[in-house]
Amino acid sequence: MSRTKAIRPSDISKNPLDPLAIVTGQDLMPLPYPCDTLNHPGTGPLSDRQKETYECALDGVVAVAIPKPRSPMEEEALVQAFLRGLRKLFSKEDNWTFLQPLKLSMDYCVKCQTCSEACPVFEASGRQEIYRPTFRSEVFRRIYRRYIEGESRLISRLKGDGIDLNWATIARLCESAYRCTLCRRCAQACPLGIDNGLIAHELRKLFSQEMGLAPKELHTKGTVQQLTVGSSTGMKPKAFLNLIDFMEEDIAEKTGRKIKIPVDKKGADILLVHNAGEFVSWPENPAAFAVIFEEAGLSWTLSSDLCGYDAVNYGVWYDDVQLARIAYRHAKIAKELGVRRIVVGECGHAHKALLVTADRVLHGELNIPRESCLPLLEKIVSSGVLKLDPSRNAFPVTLHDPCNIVRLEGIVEPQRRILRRIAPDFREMNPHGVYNYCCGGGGGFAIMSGMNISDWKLGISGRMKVKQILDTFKDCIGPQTRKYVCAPCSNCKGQLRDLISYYELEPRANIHYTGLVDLIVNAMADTPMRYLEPEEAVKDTVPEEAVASRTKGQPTGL
Amino acid sequence: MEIVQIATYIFGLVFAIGFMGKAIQYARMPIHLRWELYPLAGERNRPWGGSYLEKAEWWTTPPERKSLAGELAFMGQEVFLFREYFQRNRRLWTIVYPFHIAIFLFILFFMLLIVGALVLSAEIAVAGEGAGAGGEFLYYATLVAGVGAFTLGTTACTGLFLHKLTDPTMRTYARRIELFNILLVLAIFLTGLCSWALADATFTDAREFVRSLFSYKEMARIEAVSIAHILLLGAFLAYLPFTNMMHFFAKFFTYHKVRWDDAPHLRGSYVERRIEPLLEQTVTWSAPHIEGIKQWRDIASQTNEPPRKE
Repeated sequence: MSRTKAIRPSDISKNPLDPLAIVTGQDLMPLPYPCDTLNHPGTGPLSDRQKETYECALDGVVAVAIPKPRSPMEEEALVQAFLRGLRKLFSKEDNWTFLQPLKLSMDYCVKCQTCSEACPVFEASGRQEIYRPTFRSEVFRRIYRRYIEGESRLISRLKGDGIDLNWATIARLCESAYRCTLCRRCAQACPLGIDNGLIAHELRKLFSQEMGLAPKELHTKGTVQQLTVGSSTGMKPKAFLNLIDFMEEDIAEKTGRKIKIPVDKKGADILLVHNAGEFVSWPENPAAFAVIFEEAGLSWTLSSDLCGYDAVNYGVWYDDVQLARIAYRHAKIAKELGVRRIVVGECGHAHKALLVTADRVLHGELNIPRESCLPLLEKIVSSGVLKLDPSRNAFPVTLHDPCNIVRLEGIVEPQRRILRRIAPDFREMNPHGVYNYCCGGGGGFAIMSGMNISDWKLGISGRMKVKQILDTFKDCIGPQTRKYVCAPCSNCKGQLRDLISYYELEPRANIHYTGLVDLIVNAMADTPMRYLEPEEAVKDTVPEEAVASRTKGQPTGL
Repeated sequence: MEIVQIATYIFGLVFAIGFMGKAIQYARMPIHLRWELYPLAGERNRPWGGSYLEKAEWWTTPPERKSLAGELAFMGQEVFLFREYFQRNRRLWTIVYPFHIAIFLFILFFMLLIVGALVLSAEIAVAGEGAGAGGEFLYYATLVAGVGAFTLGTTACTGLFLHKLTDPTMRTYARRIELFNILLVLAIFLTGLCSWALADATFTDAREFVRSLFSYKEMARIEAVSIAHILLLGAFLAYLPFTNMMHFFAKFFTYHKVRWDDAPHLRGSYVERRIEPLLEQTVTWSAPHIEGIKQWRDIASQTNEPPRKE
């Protein structure tokens, strides 16, 4: 049974040992056939040791792994550290990077709750109050008014702002900042432009930049490892170079092409940066880039420098200093190679970090032109330089829009124009484009798997995407038809891989995932084998009635 | 000069100072990192929500101009139709839309009173009969706007207050101060309605009062209910800049300066000039991985070094 009850923002400071809510399987949003019979338990329990060691009183889930203070004195010290961070978050010096948008979102929300229904986490969780976009923000606003605006305790109480700032409040608020995928669908729905996603982002910064609290996957094993070892995957330059050799062999085997992948080529036109997770988990994706770029005759290179072979920048989710450090590093590598431009591969948050969020911290010689791979790929595909046979992609394909590339960056149509050329049964999800739903792995969740956060990211934050995918393929949902979700983003692909496994989408509905370049190379007519899992892809056929019933070339929209 | 007039001047002054103070405070905040949300209303060629980043080698062509007409059309629908509420939160729209229409009617009423007062000062009559076409139009327009504002405002305010109390989610998040604010606005509309119904059916006293504010002369005697309305309205205006009811003002910044910012950082651009001094600012964040950074610029110089402490 759900333990959800009527929860108010002021409850966040009460009963420090009891979770405010525990989400059970019965609470969750129903899914369509064939996942309607799945019986997931909601978020799984922690072990007794985990409960004793880490703060978990928000919802019984641990993302940040905040160690429990050992004494009231330690608790008080943490409260004081939070207050120091709070003051810095609202200072022009320490937080010039986001002060104006943050202040606007703090001061002018009218709590009309229009944002709630836009939030896939809130909806998929069965409308749990603690996941309502305004819940976290309202708690934070009340603390802000008391400690930054300087309202006295009496005035605060009279206004109805009562929240006790104790350790329970802070610990829950910290975990709560990691129950938002930062997809910013809520902000898009707000008639006033208030951004609850930004508030979650800024809270994450406060906890990281002042208190050193962040999920280890993002910080210790993420940005820190990337800056010191070279990649958040832990891959060192030598291992990267070995992988390049392997990729060259794989390309030769699959496409019959003998390609020497350029690495550290000075003076190349393009420095192509991939999420290093691609080299480790999906090497066929960077290999497909190599095939396409070589076929198009581009002057390009990869980098084997520290960070140069890993485009990720987890700082974009939780820490401006780490964001800037990594962005500077990427730009510096490009400068040293003497390239004319940096092109970001299929990685959504790397797009967002390098093209948009860090845009204003790269100066002078480091302000090297940067662009997405998607317009470039469209240019190549539409130029006719590749001999493409769309019938090789003769299976239903839908496109997942990575929030970072689409809603947050406005790159919407190039990937669609490519798919319309190479996939005869391309179909849109509803909604799609800038109004898409997050895959549930945004904001860092795709790479987080400690303790029971996987239950949350798959069972709750990714649930809406599963529903969308099933609805999109409902006319051919049976396992006899192989279907693909194309996701031009590494983290989205990681989340889709895990969702497909968690919801048994492969045995139940024959649903698979892939990147965009993989589909392009799969459509290349002059390759002897199919690129996309050839032994099975050959058997694919598109149900004719499904193709005929679908309007091609529809513009993007709701 | 009477105390009501003096109070009105003071309230007006506090409002002006408060409003300007807020505007200056937000306008002088440092340029921030980019945080756009698409679609942009001013994007001429990409109605699907696209941006300049859809173009290969976007920096090789001149920056695209945004469509002011597109932005105005969007904002016009927002301001006058509450389009987003209509599309996404229809139930609330049925309450907040008439509420805001009442406010617009009230602003119109006030402006017509000012025009009427100026016309009177020029010794031109404003009346229902025998005042000439202009005077008669002003008379009836003021009457319609005033009565419309007070009637609609009283009804919608009551509806909003009840909605905040009866809707479980609204009630959960409603602060006492917000309920007070609604009651304050309700009191303004209600006293206005009472003033019209009981004391000033033609708004002649109201027009004379506004005229006295311009002429700095003693005002004609007005009824207590009208004085209550004037003082409540004045107090509300003085209080407004310090509340979240200034969201109409915030919307300019949230849309134009954040969601629709969309200004790439080009070499030699105004963005570069505004960012440059910010890099000299002090960094006092104290998490272990930030140790050693004194200014934002130091981050750039650390790109070859691992963080000093983990």
